Amino acid sequence: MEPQLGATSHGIAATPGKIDIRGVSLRYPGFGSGEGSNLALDNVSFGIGDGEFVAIIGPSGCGKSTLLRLVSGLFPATAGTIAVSGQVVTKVPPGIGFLFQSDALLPWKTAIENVAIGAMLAGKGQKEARARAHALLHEIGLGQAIDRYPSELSGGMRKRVALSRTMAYEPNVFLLDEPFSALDAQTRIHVGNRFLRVLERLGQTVMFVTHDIDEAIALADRVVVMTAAPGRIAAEFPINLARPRDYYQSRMVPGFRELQGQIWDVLRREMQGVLSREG
Amino acid sequence: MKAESAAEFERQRQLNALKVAMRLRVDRAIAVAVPLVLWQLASHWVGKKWISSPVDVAQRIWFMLLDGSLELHTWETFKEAIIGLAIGVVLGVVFGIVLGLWRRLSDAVDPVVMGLYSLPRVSLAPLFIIWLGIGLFAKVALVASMVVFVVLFNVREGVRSIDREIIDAFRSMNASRAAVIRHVIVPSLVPWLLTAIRIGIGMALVGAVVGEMIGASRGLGWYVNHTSGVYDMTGSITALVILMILAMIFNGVLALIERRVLRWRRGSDAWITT
Ligand SMILES: Nc1ncnc2c1ncn2[C@@H]1O[C@H](COP(=O)(O)OP(=O)(O)OP(=O)(O)O)[C@@H](O)[C@H]1O
Ligand SMILES: [Mg+2]
Repeated sequence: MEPQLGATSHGIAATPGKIDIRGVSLRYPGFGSGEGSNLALDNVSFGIGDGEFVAIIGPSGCGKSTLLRLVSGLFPATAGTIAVSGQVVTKVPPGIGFLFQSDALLPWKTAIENVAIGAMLAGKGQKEARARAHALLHEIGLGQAIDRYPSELSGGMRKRVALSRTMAYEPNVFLLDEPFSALDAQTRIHVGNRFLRVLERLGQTVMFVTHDIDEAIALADRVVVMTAAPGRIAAEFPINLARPRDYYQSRMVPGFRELQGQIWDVLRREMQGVLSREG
Repeated sequence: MKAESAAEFERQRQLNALKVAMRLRVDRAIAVAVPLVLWQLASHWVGKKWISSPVDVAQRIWFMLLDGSLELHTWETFKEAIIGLAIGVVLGVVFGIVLGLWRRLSDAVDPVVMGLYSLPRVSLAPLFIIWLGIGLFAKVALVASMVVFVVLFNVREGVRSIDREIIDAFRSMNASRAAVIRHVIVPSLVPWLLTAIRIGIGMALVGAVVGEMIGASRGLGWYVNHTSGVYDMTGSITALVILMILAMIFNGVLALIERRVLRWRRGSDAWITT
């Protein structure tokens, strides 16, 4: 069956209220006295349904990573509230799988040990955790590298190890900060597809930060575009593309280019703002 | 064909590694032998009275081994250095972690800590001897007072440079505090600690020897003092040679530990330094 843009049914049900972001602002402490100088997020509100896949796009420095940190409960918002599964976030909620923009691997552990830690923190025994890590690394194309240390891996390989660690933790909410950014085109398709299959099977909720418009459309149920710093919501685009999807093939669907153009228009306006302000 | 050349490549690589290792051994043997020969020659021109000679020193070591004085003095100095080092490291780690985590306290006490650090600790030796007598404890205290600062500064810096993202990654997976300490904090401090110990070894020997020179009845420092007092150059230099060997053993053991514990660094800079 050819996936069609605009088709109404998709495998992932969007029941509202998995993540609820209400009027959230964040001001980083420190230097800068001028109004909005260290304001990273300014009154951001939107919701993510249970099992929904939302991609977030925005100019560099607009607060995307900051927003993910707030949702994961690593630190509190300056204003507004965030709820995950109906619980207001005051500390780290259970079942959050946060993939950081930097890979955040332990340099003194091998790839397989790093991934196994994810499973162990989810309560698995040592043996089971290792078996799980082994399987995940093989699936993601790192079978040859399981006993290497992060310093012996390329940037893309490290990113995949980090993604495997997040998967090993078996979260029900994924917070992914540019997970595929360090991968070459082919690996990206392979890893993207693997990831899609797992998601479409288990139906976890995903918040996905990317700089790649095509990727956002190909993966997500909704694309949220943020303004330049301080970050606000500039526009939202529902993506009615049938699932299961293919990371690459989805881009051939009629209507894809128009959507891409619309998103790019919004993004370009925001980027221009940043560039002209700085230039 | 392809596999064959890969195996051949691997064989060549191992052969090369072997060659490099052999060459290092030879180089090091030469680095020891040349100064010894020069020293022996110099002792003829300058006179044994002033600089002794390798042969005399070797002989002295042999005599001292036979009459038990080698063991007596070396063991004493070794004990002072190792116990003092251990105490200095433990205190340094504790203070370093506290000051690393507690910024405000660290800023408050920083001038005092720097002042104490800049104070020549050797000048404390007479005080320690008055307080603790001329036995082991005074020297242990002196050694610890010298080692503690370098460990403190290193550990404090280590605590501050722990990768926040890694800690956040662990916190986001609801890791307990104990798990964060065990998996992240302790392993990040290990390289800093090893560096501190490496510097501390030299300081520990200085502390022990200086302490013995000021007030003691045995130990290699005492032996240097005692023999130079009667113009026994061979005796003084023998003690120095033994101290040097002691330092080399300390460093060798540390290097073994480093190689085991810092294996994960092999991809980053290990190949640059070897
Ligand atoms: N720890 C911090 N302290 C102070 N300011 C910070 C801190 N982290 C981020 N910022 C600031 O907050 C703003 C948003 O940062 P954030 O990392 O969320 O951006 P981003 O949208 O993820 O950017 P990118 O796409 O480049 O990753 C930036 O202006 C940044 O300078
Ligand atoms: Mg970011």
